[in-house]
Amino acid sequence: MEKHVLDNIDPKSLGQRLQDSRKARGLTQQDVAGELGMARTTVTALEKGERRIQPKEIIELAKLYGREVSDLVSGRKILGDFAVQFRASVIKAGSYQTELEEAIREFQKLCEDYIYLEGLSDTPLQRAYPSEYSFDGLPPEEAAEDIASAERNRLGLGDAPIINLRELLENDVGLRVFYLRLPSRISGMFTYSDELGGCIAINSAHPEERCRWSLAHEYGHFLTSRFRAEVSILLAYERTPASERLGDGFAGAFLMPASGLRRKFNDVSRLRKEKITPADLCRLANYYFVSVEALTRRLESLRLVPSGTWDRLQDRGFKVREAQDVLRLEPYRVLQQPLPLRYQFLAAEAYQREKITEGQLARLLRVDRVEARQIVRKLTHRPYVSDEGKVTSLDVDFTDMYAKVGDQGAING
Amino acid sequence: MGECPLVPIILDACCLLNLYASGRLKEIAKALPEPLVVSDYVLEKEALSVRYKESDQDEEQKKPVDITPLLSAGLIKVISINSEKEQETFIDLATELDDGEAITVSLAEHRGCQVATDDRKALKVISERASVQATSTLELVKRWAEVRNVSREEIRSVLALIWTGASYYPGERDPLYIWWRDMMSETKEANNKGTTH
Repeated sequence: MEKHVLDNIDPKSLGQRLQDSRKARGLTQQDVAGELGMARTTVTALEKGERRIQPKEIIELAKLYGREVSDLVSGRKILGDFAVQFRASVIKAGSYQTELEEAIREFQKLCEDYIYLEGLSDTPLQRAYPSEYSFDGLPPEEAAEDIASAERNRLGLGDAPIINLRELLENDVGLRVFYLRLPSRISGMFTYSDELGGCIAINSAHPEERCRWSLAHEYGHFLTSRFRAEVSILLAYERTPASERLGDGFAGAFLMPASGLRRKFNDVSRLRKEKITPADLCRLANYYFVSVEALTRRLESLRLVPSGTWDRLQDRGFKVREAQDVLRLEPYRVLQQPLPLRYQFLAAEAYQREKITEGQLARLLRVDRVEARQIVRKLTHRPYVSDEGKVTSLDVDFTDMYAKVGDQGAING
Repeated sequence: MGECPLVPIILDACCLLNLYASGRLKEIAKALPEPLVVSDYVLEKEALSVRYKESDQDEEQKKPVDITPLLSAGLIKVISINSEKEQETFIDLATELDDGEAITVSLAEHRGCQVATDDRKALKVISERASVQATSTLELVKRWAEVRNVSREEIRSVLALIWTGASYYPGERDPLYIWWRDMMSETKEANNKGTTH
């Protein structure tokens, strides 16, 4: 008699995956039993691996859990305890609880997909994590200054502006950074486990300067309390807790290091020979890729401008966007891709090496199939200038050891 | 003795998208003697949209895949996994393939269909299953062109539509890669002539 996967699969590990998938979906065994018209004891037996699952049952369970059947039978890791870490934040979320739960589920799936892709190519993420910084006994703002300075030294950043913060944290530190649609009041989320490393989700709907700030803020959490999962909510506190003050203090000091900012500010003041103007603040903010508010508040904390400057500017009706337009300052623009570039390369490589199907590729990249094809094409065909100055394309074929210079394909001209 | 019944062709999502983008799916379905089928899963969850542009200057837009007229005309039939045997094979295949491909190959195996796919991983899995045969987008286009005696110019235009609408280009190991490349080179030359005159 022909043997099938369900005859051979380890019932305990399948049961565990079923349980993890159910929990990730926020369902109880009773919910599942009710939905599928089976006894709760049957669900328990399936999850304990005490009863062989029928083909029809696994198909229905996958549908109920929002998973593919292939997720359940291919041995992919499902992070069962991921959502549990955010439970306290979810309870506090109030009106946007459902939206937050959905965002956490997507964050979890992205993390699962990332480690799945790393497993396919056998290339785990290189981590360069420092030991946790302690800030016991110090005011959070003061500790944040010290930690930011130590991190800048560790990463060899000097005191210059950080142009590509996301790439820095992904490539030089080894964090997993995703840009997701989160409820509008949530700026970011952070979690850590030994298996995953540090994982950050940033609200992609926020302006770019805000996204950078949130990313630096979450990095502050990673550096000081990495074992505590965090959801950062805007204007959530009557009295801001020390951890949030540290996160913001770190973001300011890391993005605008005191020594560099002081020097730059003094250069501007010297040239002007009079009081600094709002236009100068706009230019400085642009230089550090931060918002004018963040820059002004940082200058206030360094006592380079009087305390309350930002509030007074606001009272006078100062309009940042209009000022930037007048000064012809291009707003900070980077393509906020939902997925890390390394993740996309791993997916393209797995596809080219025939380790995944096109459907799996599209699902991993969170796009439809045509866009998935376009992404692979883009990642594997790079413009190349030959010694004679001819622009052609470099076809990066992950299935070959060596890249080869192509004839620009036949059609993409 | 009667003739052998024709083996139906089941389209996977890659092939359905490519043929839909070609703008000639109806003509191809009419020209081929084999019946065309597609799984409900592929139609509802996988092959959702292609791209189109009103003109070269316009932005690319998504165009939903809508084969209702072909279904109404009986040129394509939708089938779904029903029996326990089909379910079991689907689950076996799902250890390696996504659900859409696994369902397509399972249906092909149990209902005696040939799979039309351009997915290299799916082709690899199919090659290990003696009971299933595969064909491809390019084979179907080429056969249509031969059956209907289609001009080279029209073939080139169809392949160009598959490129622009579905971003499809075959791998170098595809048996029809050279045929496709030569056709596309002619398209490029024709376009260059058009722009220089």
